Amino acid sequence: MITALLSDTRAKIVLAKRLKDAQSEVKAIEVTLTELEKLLDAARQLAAAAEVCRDRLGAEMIAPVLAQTVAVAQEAQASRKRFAEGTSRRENLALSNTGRKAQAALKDLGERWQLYAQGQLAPYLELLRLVTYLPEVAASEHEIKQLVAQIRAQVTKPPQSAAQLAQFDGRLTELGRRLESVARLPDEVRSFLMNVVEGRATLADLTPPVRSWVEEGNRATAFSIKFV
Amino acid sequence: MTAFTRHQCWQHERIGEVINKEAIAVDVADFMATHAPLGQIRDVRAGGGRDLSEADLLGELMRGAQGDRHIFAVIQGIPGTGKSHLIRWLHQRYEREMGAQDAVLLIERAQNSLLGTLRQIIAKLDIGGDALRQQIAKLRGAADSLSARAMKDSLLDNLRVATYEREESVKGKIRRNIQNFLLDPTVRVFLQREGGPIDRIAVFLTAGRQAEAAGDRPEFVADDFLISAKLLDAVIHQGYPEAGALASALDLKPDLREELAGYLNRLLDYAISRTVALSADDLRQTFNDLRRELCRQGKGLTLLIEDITAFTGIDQGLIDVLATQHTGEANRDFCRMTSVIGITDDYYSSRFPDNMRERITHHLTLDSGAGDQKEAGLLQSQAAAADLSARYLNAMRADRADITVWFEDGARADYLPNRCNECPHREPCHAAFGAVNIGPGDGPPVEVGLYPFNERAIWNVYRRLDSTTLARTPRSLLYHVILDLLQTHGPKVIAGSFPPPAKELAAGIPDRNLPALAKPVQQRMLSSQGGPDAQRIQSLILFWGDGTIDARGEGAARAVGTLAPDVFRAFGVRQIEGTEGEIVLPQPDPEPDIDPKPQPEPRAGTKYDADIERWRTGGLLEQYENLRKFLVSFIESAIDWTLHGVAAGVVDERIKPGRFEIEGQSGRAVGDRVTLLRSDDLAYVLQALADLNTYGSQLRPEALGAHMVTLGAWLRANEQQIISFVLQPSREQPSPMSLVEMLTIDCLMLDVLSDNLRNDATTSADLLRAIVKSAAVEVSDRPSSEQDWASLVDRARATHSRAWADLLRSIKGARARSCRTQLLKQLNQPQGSSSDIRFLDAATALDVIARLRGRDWALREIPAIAEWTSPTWKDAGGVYALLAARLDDLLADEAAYQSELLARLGEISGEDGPDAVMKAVDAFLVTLSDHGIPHNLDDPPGKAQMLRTLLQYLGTTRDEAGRATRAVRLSAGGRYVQQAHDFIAYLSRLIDLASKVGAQQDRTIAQLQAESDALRLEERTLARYDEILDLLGAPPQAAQPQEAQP
Repeated sequence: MITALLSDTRAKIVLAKRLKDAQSEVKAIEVTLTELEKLLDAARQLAAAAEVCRDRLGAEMIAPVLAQTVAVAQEAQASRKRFAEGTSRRENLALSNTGRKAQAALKDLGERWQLYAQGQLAPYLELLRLVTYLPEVAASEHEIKQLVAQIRAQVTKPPQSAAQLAQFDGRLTELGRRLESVARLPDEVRSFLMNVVEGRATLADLTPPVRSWVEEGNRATAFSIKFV
Repeated sequence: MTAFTRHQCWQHERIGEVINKEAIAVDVADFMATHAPLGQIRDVRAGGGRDLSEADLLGELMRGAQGDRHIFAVIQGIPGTGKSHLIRWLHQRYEREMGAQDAVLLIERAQNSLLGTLRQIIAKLDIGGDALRQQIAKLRGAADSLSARAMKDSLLDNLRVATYEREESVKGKIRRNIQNFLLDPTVRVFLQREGGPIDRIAVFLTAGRQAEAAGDRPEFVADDFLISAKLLDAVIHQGYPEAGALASALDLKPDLREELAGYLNRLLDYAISRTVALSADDLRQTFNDLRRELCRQGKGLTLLIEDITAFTGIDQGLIDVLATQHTGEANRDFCRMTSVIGITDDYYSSRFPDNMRERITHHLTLDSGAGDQKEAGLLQSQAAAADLSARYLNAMRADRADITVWFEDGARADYLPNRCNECPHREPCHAAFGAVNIGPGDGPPVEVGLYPFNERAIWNVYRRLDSTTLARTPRSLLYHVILDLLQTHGPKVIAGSFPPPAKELAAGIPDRNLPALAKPVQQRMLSSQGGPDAQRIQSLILFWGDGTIDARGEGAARAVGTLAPDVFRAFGVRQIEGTEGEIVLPQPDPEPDIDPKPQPEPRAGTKYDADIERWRTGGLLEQYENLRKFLVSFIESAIDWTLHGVAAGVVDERIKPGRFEIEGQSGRAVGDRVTLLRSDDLAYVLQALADLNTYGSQLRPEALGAHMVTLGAWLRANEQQIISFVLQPSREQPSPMSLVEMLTIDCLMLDVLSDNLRNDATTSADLLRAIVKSAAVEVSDRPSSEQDWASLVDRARATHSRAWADLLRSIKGARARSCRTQLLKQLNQPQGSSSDIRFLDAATALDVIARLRGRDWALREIPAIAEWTSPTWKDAGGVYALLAARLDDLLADEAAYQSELLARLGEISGEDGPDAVMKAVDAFLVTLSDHGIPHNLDDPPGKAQMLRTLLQYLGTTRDEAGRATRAVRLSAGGRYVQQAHDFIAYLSRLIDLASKVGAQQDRTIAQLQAESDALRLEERTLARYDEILDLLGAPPQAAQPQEAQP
């Protein structure tokens, strides 16, 4: 009986002590927690982006980002240890530093994604430049521009989830579908259109296949001849 | 004319009327007829130089009244000096002279109680207006309340109220406990018992004191708080704790009993006043109203109070009334007051207020002498006693009607009825017994005979009354001489058996005061001449005569012991011849001779011879003490006590002069003693011893040889009786066992109870060693004291059951010391014939112990040792009886007591053993220390090992079935019990502390949790860390929040 009572009382003494200590450090814990919330946000983005982008960017491309992530994790782990043991309850500075490193890693990852995403978008933009005046393209110019803008936005920021990545991929596919009618242009036509866009087209470029393609589908209205 | 013999001239029924013992007030006519003028009333203020007569005093009072002077007279005197008598006489005379001018109130001692006094006042104050009637109604209510049966309870309740309302005791013990002490039902019954203090006071207030009782009102005395052991036990165990505490203290401290009695006496007035619902102010108001009323009527008030103690409780108010004058602005409407009060010396010195003493106008006393030797001034001579007696004898001879007529005719002393005048035996009677002139000094003589007394007989009886219980006062003379003799022995005059033997004559004379013949050698002659009337004649000679049978004169004038033949004839006895010529009185013992020379060969016997012869023939032994000493010394030295197995200590105790009585002595033998019957053989033995002690070796060989034969024969005949007496507790009681055995058992048990035995004391020798060691202390230079015993009892209370301590208390230290001292004495034996070298008879003691062990210490019960046995037997028997009656129960109680301790320890420890418990205790103390939690716990009383050992010891003792082994273990186990108490106390305090700290911590935790979510915040923070680390793919965390697992 007495042993249980004494043991129980001792536990209460320890708990009360912990509570008192915690109360006196609540401010420190609060700033630590605030900083942690920021770091958590960064960590979430970093972790998610790294995970989503890992396969697209390839191992070699993603490795430097992962290395940075490990460093961030190690710092966070050290901070936790100090906090948990009570040696330092105010970890905001350390965590802020760690947060910057996490942001840097995230930025690095974003740049790497941007390279990848731009590479994916570039052919479509080139094609769009050739056909943008064609009547069949001009009819859905607004949707195409909006789609391109959305894709550009996703290029600037790495996807945080598979859904975002799928959305990115879907938008690229949609853009391709919309340019599909011109996407299969014969080479002579493609060359003619290139010269037209660059203001270098001559009558010589109006070859029969080109004339035939122009006359199809009321496309001739899209062209005019002017002096140099 | 008939002969003057066996004549009774007094009327038997008049004895009780004239000297009325039952009701102090006697018929006024008888009172006046027996009044003896007081001529020695001393005026205290006059420095003792002025004596007043009663007439002077009466004149003073009358002149005061005529001169409109306030008089407050106090008549002081020891009880029985005649204060009441004087005041009653003053009342009679004053009322005759001044009755028309004053309202005269006599407050008599009649019933001598507050109740009776109040009723007198009510009866006499039946005058006046409304205010006075209201006051009288209040008095009546007080009188009625005093009749209530609840008087005793009410007195106690009001005493209790007084303890906090009136005065708190300066003694803390009394102050703290007195209220519940007076409330305790057992104590209340004790204080209210018949004859107890509350009963005495209540009886005094309602019925008055006994007529013969001397002194003032009854009060508490220290002995009222002598509480018996049984009562004390009841109060302690059944009563209020405070009552028990005070009762225990009273039991131990005589000083505290004195203090308590004094304290309650100081509260008594207050309590009585509240009880009767009548205060001193009420009484004062009543008299003030009466004085106003009388003032309006143009009268004065004369108040004559026989005994102020009858006003107990409101007496201080009465004194204030009497001292209040009718002069001065505030009192102008009061009538003049003349007051005379009777008070005892003790009352005046202890209760009369100092500030009132100066207001006494006449301070008078009837005492003569001083201090303890005070006596009534009235009876300073044989003649004065005869004078007073003659007046009462005269009244007893007269018809009541004649006395009444005389009184109604003016009560003139010279006309007082005197039956002697018409008595045919007047001449021989007055000649033989004497007469006294009780007439007024300036008138014709009124000669009254003293028959059946004479002047010497009255004086002899009066002066021989027991002065330790009876003061020499007129009251004593009347009650214990005249009344007692006439009522008890008066009828014997006619029967021819007066006077009785000297020892029977007066109950008030103790044996030690009985007169003896002035010439003891005349005893034998008186006995021989007196024949069957010898004892009556001796009484006559001793009291009426001069204590001798010296004869003088011839024929009708021949007087024996100065008594004329008519004295003998009057009582129907023949006058003895007496003895003529020079009688040689025995010489007093010679002074011790510094250089004694051999005595010459005896020729004329010894100084004891006549005495022994007188005793042999039926008389007393006047040299009793010496002869008894010779006899006892002979018995002690002549018997071979060792041969009879009688220890030396027993002989010392039993063979003492006081334990032997020789038949036929005047004193009443009490206590345990051997009576050696009167016989010729014993007379010869005494004679032999007288010769041997007087002449020793100077005796002739043939005389010496004869004496040796006499002594030897007597010793053989009486030896067995004497030895039996020595070995028995008392003459009547056979010895239940030998004294040595009883003392040995007592001492062994005392050592058990005193925790003196060791657990390994298993042999008889071990036990005897312990017994002797304890006993030796009592015969050392520093024997144990009562305080040591009280400490032992206190220690026993701490380490044993209540039964154990109670038994020690019942045994009492004095008896324990007596047993131990006596055991050594009993075992102390002379070495051979040496009187110096002694040894301890261990064999006897070891034998006793071995036999006791053989029956596993079973004590057989013995009959109670009688009260009158020797102190040794009484102490030994008393202790043994207690042990025999209680030992088995005691061992059972003690086992239960230790079981209780074990149970308590078990309850505290639960399932855990000593190691776990003490480990938890240590850890707890460390935690308290680490966390800076203050507490007042010392270190534990011991380690786990100690706890384990004591549990084992107590458990084994509890389970021990053998009486002897258990008793030894209990005696030796005191320290384990103490340790158990220490552990229980410590662990209980620890539990209390832990519970208290736990509760505090609970509150702190709740408060902290309510005030802040710090803990949750911390937990959330850690969760965040973990979430981040998880996201970042870090390994699982080992570090937990800062905490130490208990």
